[in-house]
Amino acid sequence: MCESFGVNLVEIEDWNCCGASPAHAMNEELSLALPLRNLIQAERQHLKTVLSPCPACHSHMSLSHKETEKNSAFQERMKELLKGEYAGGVTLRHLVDFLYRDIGVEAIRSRVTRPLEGLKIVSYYGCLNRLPAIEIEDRENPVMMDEVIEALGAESVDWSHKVECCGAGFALTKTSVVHRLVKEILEAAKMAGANGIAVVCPLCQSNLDMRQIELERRGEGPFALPVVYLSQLALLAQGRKPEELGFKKHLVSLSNMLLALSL
Amino acid sequence: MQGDAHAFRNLILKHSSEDVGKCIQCGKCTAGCPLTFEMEFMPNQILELIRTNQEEKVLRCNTFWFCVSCQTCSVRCPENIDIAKIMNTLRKLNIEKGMKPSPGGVVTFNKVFLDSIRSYGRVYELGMVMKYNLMTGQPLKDASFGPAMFMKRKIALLPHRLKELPLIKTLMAKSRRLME
Repeated sequence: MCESFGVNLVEIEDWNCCGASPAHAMNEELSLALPLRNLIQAERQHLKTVLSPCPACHSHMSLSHKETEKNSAFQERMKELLKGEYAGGVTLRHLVDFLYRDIGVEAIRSRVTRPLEGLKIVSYYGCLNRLPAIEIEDRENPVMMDEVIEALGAESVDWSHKVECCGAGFALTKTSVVHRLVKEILEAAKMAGANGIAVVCPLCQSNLDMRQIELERRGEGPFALPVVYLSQLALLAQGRKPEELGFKKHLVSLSNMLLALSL
Repeated sequence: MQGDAHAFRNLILKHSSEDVGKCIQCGKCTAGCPLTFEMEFMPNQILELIRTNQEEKVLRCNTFWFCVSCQTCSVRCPENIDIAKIMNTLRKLNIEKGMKPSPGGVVTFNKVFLDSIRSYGRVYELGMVMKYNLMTGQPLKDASFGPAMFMKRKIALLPHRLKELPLIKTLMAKSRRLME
């Protein structure tokens, strides 16, 4: 998708896991050092911007970035632990920030060759809107995704659960909690009359997609609500074939959604 | 210091830089929390228990283990207390003091997850999930998704190992649980 806007992505060489919630909950220094190593690697490659598809990775990197800026004792300690130094020269962006602010809604609209007319999409932000690292105009009622969806020609449906939590990191440890939260979200989307849910977080995607199948198996559905990334919708509206967009990786079938587009 | 009426409040202040003394007990944190249905004490009660120095009660309850770090409480707090950060500090203090283990094997999961980073530098999903399920006595949990996960190439069969793995291993051995 970035390529379609003239942006070439390169991978950070030898990148490591940011430690996610487990490092955050178990070891504070580790939770700051792991993301910082990725920033050091990025600087070694002379990269100016680091774009994350995951809000949590983005948030953890931003915390490390800020701590380096304001705390020299931390800087020294990290130098010792990581055998390298971060100069603080990287700009951090989450994909939704990047799309909305750097690419811009008008540029997104100008690339549309097949407007997604007939699609009713609810934007699901989850906890993303509350992470301090992401610039958001209204944390209680964000509209960045909604505006992008409208620019793609789909109808962005207003609904009650755009910022509710999906259960996030409890996916494997407290699955019953995720079932409960996901069910509330899916029911709300259904009530709003949506034929798809747009997301920008891999964990939201996974929880809403995988646990939806499970809820349906247990007879608590049906929902039939495909959970698609905003980037997939953007490319669909640029006329790309559904086969090219990774739809086969989804657990909930997209056939109803594509049917609504006569694809 | 024994007998200090503010000991627990100050301990939390030291490790999280958050002062529960600012709390006005408005209850907004509790009203917005998506996990209250699992919690022994509500988030606003936790702040009050910290303020009134009831360390044992707080560190033995399940509340902070059910905090999912969604930050709703922190964003809505009219006194700008980062409540999610306090919950995170409580998790670390609980482990540090060897208190009652977490419900649902959260700490087990966290350790298995970090083991994966120690071994590979990244998370090897298949190995991690299988190990966690075995350790928590539920070997077949989510197994029905296994075939689809492979067929759809959502997870890899084999792990990827970082070039700079020795650095990650040293980092994990030397990093400190709580910063001051």
